Amino acid sequence: MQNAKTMKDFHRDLASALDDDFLRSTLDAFALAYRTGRAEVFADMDEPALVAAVAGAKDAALDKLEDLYLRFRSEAEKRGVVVHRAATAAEANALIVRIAHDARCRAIVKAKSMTTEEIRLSTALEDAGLEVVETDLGEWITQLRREGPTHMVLPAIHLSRHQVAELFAQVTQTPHPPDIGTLVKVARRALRPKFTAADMGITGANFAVAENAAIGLCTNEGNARLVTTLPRVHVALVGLEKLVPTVSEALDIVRILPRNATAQAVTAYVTWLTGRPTPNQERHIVFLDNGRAALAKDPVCRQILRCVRCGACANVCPVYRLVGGHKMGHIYIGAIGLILTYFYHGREKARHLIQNCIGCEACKQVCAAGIDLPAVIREIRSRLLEEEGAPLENTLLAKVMTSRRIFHALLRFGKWAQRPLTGGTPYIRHLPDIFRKSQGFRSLPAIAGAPFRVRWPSLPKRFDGRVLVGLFAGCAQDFVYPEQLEAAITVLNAHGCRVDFPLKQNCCGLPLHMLGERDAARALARENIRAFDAARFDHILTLCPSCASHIRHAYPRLLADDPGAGTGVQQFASRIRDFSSFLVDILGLSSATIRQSEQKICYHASCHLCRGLSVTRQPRELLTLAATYVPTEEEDSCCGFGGSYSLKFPEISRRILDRKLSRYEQSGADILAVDCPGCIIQFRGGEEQRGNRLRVLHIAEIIAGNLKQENGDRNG
Amino acid sequence: MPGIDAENIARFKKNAAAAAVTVVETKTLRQAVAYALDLCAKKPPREPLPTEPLHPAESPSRREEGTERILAAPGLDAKNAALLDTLGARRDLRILRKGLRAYPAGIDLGLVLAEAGIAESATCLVDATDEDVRLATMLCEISVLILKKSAVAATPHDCASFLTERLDRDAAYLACISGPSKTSDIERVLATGVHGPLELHVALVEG
Repeated sequence: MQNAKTMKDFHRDLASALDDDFLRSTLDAFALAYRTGRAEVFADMDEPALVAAVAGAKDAALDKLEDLYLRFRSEAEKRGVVVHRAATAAEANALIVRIAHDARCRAIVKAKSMTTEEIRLSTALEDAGLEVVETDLGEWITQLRREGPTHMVLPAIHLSRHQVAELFAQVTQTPHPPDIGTLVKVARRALRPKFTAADMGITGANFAVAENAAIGLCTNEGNARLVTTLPRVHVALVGLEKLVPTVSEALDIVRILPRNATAQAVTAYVTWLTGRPTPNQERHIVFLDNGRAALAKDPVCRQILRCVRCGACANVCPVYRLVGGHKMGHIYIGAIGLILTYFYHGREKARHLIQNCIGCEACKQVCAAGIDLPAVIREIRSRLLEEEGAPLENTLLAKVMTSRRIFHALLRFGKWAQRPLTGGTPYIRHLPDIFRKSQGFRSLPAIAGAPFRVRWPSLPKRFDGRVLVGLFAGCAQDFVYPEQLEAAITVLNAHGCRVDFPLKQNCCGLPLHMLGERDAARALARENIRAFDAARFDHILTLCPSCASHIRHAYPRLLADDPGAGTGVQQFASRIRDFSSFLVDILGLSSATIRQSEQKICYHASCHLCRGLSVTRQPRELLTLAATYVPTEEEDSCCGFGGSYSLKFPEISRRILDRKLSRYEQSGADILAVDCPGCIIQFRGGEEQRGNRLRVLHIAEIIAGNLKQENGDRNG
Repeated sequence: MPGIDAENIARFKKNAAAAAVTVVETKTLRQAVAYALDLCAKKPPREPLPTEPLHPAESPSRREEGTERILAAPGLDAKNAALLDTLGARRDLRILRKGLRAYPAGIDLGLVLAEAGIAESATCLVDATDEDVRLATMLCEISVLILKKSAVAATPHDCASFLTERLDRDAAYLACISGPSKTSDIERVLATGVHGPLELHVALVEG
């Protein structure tokens, strides 16, 4: 639940979750187990094809939502089932209360349904004097504690067996040992009489099939089967987006949902039901709109209606893993929760929550329905800015960064201004107290004495190169780590590349886009496209995968409606390349030019490289060529930087970084290889604080350092 | 009659084992029924749940002793039902074929015929439109499903026409069952029997 009124309140709430050691250890264990289990359960399947099938079917259904609803209603009515439609949450609650009163119901049993949580149905029913019992074990536990679920599939994952034993002891007035088998039996004994005494059973639905008015319920416990069988009246609350035309589309959902939710091949029960339970029983199906029909017409955000509620976006989220579902959502949880809160529960609840995405794209990679969750989160940030106005720091930043001259002049001025803070080192050592408290977990790098753009004219160049490469520097390497670009040029020169560096290039625009500053991001995209005139080059190379991913994926979207962008945007987007894949796939680097050193190197796969650009094999091949590569667990989990995220949420950034560095330090490697300058800021800064047990290098520096002599000599 | 796909059977067995489902193979339906009777006779008597009403035929003393076992087998044809009665009497079991609503607090074993199977997920498709068939798979401590090997398909999509045909009727309740009732809601530790069966056995019958 989000009740924070201010960002300060929000941070206070996060702090309380971060202090919960049990929560963190259980979510850690889950994250690791899920990762392995998911890989196994999809091993024999064509996962991308299944995701595409679900996405395609859902998109097609959204195009004809009204037709599907009408078909469902007519098929249901033929079978004696009453179909209702509620425009809002309040309307749905009132409707279900009325159904209960009309049928003289008093006691209600419920199966788990996020849609009923969305409208706070239980509260409405209780307010109307009805007794409501949740029968899913996790939901029953959270109901007894008077709190909401913290995971869409595992609602009580935040609680220990000891807490559950204490709770059950209070409820049954009998002590119970903290043994899980025993506690499950306590629930069985306590809940069975509730099923038999209930007048009404309430469920959601995982899908609703228009052709035969069937609804489907996927459960492991089997409680939904009892809920739909024993009481006199069954009510199913179904989001409109759950409609699919035929059984075939529903089968794809059944195949992917449990695999993605909990790495299970299938839930113990998948129940398909149509018509009335028996001639003596009533069945009502309430379709909930609550903004869905309008959302289905929203060109950018409609994709979120594909969601099958598997909860995988929370399972892989580094922020969820630290703070749990009560803080990483309002009712809905995880990345989809951040988004749905905005649409279903409003700006007030979403304002701070939507900022708490680090942008690592892990959710996008596992989404069962192929939803580009990070892109929708950025879209909502933009809409919030448009609706509420931008904070002053955003406006200033946007103004400065879209003017290359001012931005670069400020960065150069920073070189002088930082002197009292650096003490002559490459780090800002003397942060003002106000920053040190939150940001002191990692040293911030100093701005370089001379940026790359100043060094460029005097760098050695080849004019006989067979591959024409345009270099996109990115701000971090241009102004903070120019030596990484120089290392890359050494490697490129040695392998027959002719490199050019268009001086009018500016920031790629990703930081502003992440803040929701869409217009500023567009302006920067146009500026870079003009600066490069991409058709002149065979390839455009950047050592920053975040820039590359943003240029490749976001530029075409940002400028989709810009007639002036023309083919330039496509040429730029299609030519942009990261360093590792360029070296391996284009230049074909081998042991002919790279020597294998004695170094032991572990590796961090940057989010925007491994997920943003799907480059995973090539950096590891390079490391194997140049050194002994030491694999470690979760190489591809986020470093916690996320650009401005680490400044906004240092308490989370710090913990993510600490876990990553501890693992790398334990690996026995002496160097940590990284693809992205943002990750380098984070890791080097962290190591500087932890005593520099590891050297942190960009992969370009490692390759340049291991060029065979004759190749190195050819440099220039 | 469709043939038996050995690959599907092997996959079904492998995936069932991974989901803690016991699979037995029998040559005849009679052997499968005998397996269920044997299982019921040997199991510990069910744990009585609160508010269990006494069935008219039930002896209060035997209930107190906790020695009586109930086997529910709705949906069998006359021949198999007769067989069950004969074998059941020998085993001192009470056999129920209908009226399961009177036993909300539980039965020992539910025996039901599945109409199709899916190898990919070791799933049995049961047409549970008859409420007694439904309850037999929900209220028992051990659920036994009998499935013909020839009815085991590879993927859920191979059963689409079966599902579509049944759901086209005025009322249908189709249960795709792939395991016992289970939960990982407390500390993600798997426990069975939270609401329904503690065990699921599938008898794969030749033919």
